[in-house]
Parts: sequence; C-alpha cells; structure tokens
Amino acid sequence: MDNYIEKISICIQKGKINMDSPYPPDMKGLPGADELTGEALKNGVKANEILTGAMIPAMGIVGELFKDKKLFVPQVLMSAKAMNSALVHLKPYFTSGEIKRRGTFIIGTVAGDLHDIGKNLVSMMIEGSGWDVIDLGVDVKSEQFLEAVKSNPNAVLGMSALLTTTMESMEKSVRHIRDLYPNLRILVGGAPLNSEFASRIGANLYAPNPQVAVEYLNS
Amino acid sequence: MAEFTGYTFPLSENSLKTEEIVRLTGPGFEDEILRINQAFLNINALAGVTVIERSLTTPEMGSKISKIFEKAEKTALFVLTLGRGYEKIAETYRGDSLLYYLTDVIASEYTEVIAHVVNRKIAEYASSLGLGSSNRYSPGYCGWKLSGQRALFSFLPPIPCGIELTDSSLMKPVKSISGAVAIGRNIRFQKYDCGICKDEICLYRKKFIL
Ligand code: B12
Repeated sequence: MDNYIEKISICIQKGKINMDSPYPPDMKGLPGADELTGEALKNGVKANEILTGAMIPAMGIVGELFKDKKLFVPQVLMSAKAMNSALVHLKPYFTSGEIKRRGTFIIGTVAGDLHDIGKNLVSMMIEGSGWDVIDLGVDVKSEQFLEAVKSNPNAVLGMSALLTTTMESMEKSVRHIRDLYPNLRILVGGAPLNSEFASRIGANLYAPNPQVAVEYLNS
Repeated sequence: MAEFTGYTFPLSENSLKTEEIVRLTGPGFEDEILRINQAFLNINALAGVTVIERSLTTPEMGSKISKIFEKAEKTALFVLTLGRGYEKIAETYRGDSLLYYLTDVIASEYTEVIAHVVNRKIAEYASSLGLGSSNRYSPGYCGWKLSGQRALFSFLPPIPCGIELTDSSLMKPVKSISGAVAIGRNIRFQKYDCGICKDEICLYRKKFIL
C-alpha cells in the first residue's frame, strides 16, 4: 500500500502524468499518477490516504522547491497536471462526501489588469494543496469578487495585480469587500506589491509566491 | 506634431534559438518550444517612433531619468507590439497550462528582442546625425511612473500600431512595450544602468541587458 502512496507522490513531484507522457525523460514508458491512482483505488487504498498521504504532500514539496527557485515554472505545471490526472480518479469520492476539500479559494486578477500567468500558477498550487478553487479570470471587478464571496461565504479570497496602476483598483476592491465582510480572509500577490501595501489596504497577507499562501491557508 | 514612422519587424528575421528560450523555461520541453517558436516566426511585430526636436521631461519620469532626458536635443518616443498574431497563438494553447505558459514566455522574450531592435534603430538614426543616444527607458521602470504612459502616448497617433492604452495604463495587445530614448551630443549609452534605480525585483537587474 505504502508503495502506491510513495509512487504516486514521486509521479506528482516529477510531473509524470501517465504512461504515454514522455516527461520526465527518465520515467518514459512507466505508469504515471493517472494509472497508479486508478490501480491504488482498485487495490483498496483509501481515497483519503491518496489525497493526504501522496498528493497534497507531493505538491507541498513542489511548492517548496519552487519557492527556493529550484524548479522552473514548467516543471511545476507538469506536477500540477500529474496531480490533476490523479484528482480525476478521486472525483466520485469528493461527490459522495467520503473525502473533503479544505475549503474554497476564490482568485482573480483585479480590474484593469490582464496578467494571468502568476494567478494561474497560484490557482494550481492552492488546488494541489487540497482546496477547491474558483478562478474568476482577469480584469475582475469588485462586484464579481463580491458575487463569488456571497455564494461562498466561507471562502478565502485571493487577488493578483502586476501593475502599480492596478494596485489602486486592488485597494478599492479590498476596501469595498472588507467593509461588507470584515472577517473574510484576503490574500494578495503580484510583483510590485509588498507586505506593507497589503496591510495598509486591509488584506490579511501578501504572498510573494504560491507556497507562502499555501502555508497560510493550511495553518 | 512630429512625424510618426512605422516599422514592421518579421520575427523570422529576429528569431530566438531554442537554447535562448530554454534559459528562461528550464530544460525538458524543447520539442514543445520548437513547435511554438515555429508559430511565432509568422508574426510581424509592429513598431512606431516619433522623434521630437527637443528634450522632453514629464513629471512622472522622476528625477533620475529626467536628468538624462533634460540633456537631450531630440527625444524619440516609441511603441512596439507583437499584435494580434500573438493572441491567436495564445488562444490555441489556452487550454493547456504548459503550452500556454511557454507561449507567454516566448512572446515576452520576442517583445524584448524587438524593443532592443527599436533601440538600435534609434541609435543608428542618432549616429547618422552625429549624435549619441541613450538606453531605452519605459514608464513603469527606473522610477518613471506607469501613469506616465498617457503623456508618452500623447506624442503618438491615436492607437499607434494598433495599441490601445486602457484607463489603467495597460497596453492592448498585452505583448507591447513603450518607451523613450534621449538623443544628443552629450548623450551616451550606458552599458549597465541599474545604478539609477533601487528596484531590487526588476528583471533587468538580473539580466544586465540595458
Ligand atoms: C514578462 C513581463 C512583461 C512582458 C509581458 C507582459 C504581459 N502582460 O504579458 C512584456 C515584455 C510585454 C512587458 C511589458 C510591460 N511591462 Co512588464 N513585466 C514582465 C515581468 C518581467 C514578468 C511578469 C510575469 O509573467 N511573471 C511570471 C509570473 C509567474 O509571476 P507573477 O505574475 O509575479 O506571479 C507570481 C507572484 O507574484 C505571486 N502572485 C501573483 N499574483 C498572486 C496572487 C495571489 C493571491 C498570491 C497568493 C500570489 C500571487 O505568485 C506567482 C507565482 O510565483 C514583470 C516583472 C516581474 N518580476 O514580475 C514585469 C512587470 C509586470 N512589467 C512592468 C511594466 C512597467 C511593463 C510595461 C508597462 C513597460 C512599458 N512601458 O512598456 C509594459 C506593459 C505591457 C502592457 N501590455 O501594458 C512592471 C509593472 C510594475 C509597474 N511599475 O507598474 C513589472 C512589475 C516590472 C518592474 N518594473 O518591476 N512586461
């Protein structure tokens, strides 16, 4: 049993999706996270064990390595893909309630800003750490954030801005939402931001990379 | 207003090698990079330059850049873009996080390459007049406030090269760069110019390519 957990974890860490995937070259022709998760479940490994014993810790290792600049973005994306291929097998267990997500994370790039690469990466890493992610896309107005929070009152909200001008629209959105939801947890990120800005506008955390956000969410 | 000269730069004449892209993306995805890079070679980047016959400083430029530009006899203002060609490629790959990311990185790098070409073109123009020219400076860098985009665009025709400036000073299409180059007898190109700026996270600090 441990063997499956170990193997799935390695596939996710290395970004091995399935048998057909040529990446990484040293695992060519071997089964990936997809096949191994299917087999593990067939052989009686509990869905929860796969999720919490293999998938989430593996993505944690990937996040940590990325934070330390030991991985390039494409490697992280391959890990996220491997993770997703395993998640497909767990879907019925989420639906039946046998396993649960840690919570819901809403994310979007603020109004006036079209940068999505960083936001997409954060979405994937947070999903990989066991959260349900609602990605509102780019150029998201306060009203759209509010709408999503209204439908998911226990969610945590994440906002991204890459321009100094759209930091202003981030500030407006955070203040507006904060007025209505004083206890909502709001995380912000993006290259030109810093912790001082985050606390000034009333956000709970500035995360320079996805791992800092994951650690905060799971603490 | 001074004349706006448009240029077309086929990316096929400024093509990036796979190794140059791998330096940015890390190894392991050479086949994908090769395939995506091939698609970029059909794109014609557009650029436009307006040269005004005086020095130009704006309040948003900040003191460091202003110091360079106030010595100029002429000022070249430019924009450039990969245009809709990039957006079409990005659309094809949107559904695949890896290919979409690689497309984004390659596009950004081509945009930088073309900015370099424009900088060189302006330098050639300056030297044909026996004048020196500076590095390129862009709103949002080196202390030049991003809101300075509006003043820069006021010297260009409306929607130059198809580039639209939004209320948040973002240019659409996204793979675009705007900037200015100082031209004059006392203007010199600086090999490494980061001394004028304290921005520790700026990408040029790492690359030293100014
Ligand atoms: C690539 C790039 C470009 C490319 C492509 C831009 C594009 N829109 O596609 C090109 C060369 C075209 C370009 C042009 C310009 N750029 Co530019 N660009 C960058 C660069 C180098 C990288 C952005 C990127 O893709 N990063 C990769 C991703 C993975 O990182 P990320 O988005 O930061 O996200 C990570 C973290 O920030 C964090 N994060 C992000 N969001 C969130 C949200 C949450 C909730 C959490 C938890 C974490 C989190 O996690 C992510 C993963 O680690 C940045 C500098 C930088 N260091 O970021 C400048 C930068 C964004 N650009 C900048 C500027 C100024 C410009 C221009 C205006 C310059 C000009 N005058 O022409 C133009 C504008 C273009 C336009 N369309 O208007 C400035 C913006 C700041 C400012 N002053 O406003 C930056 C920050 C550079 C700087 N000066 O330091 N740019």
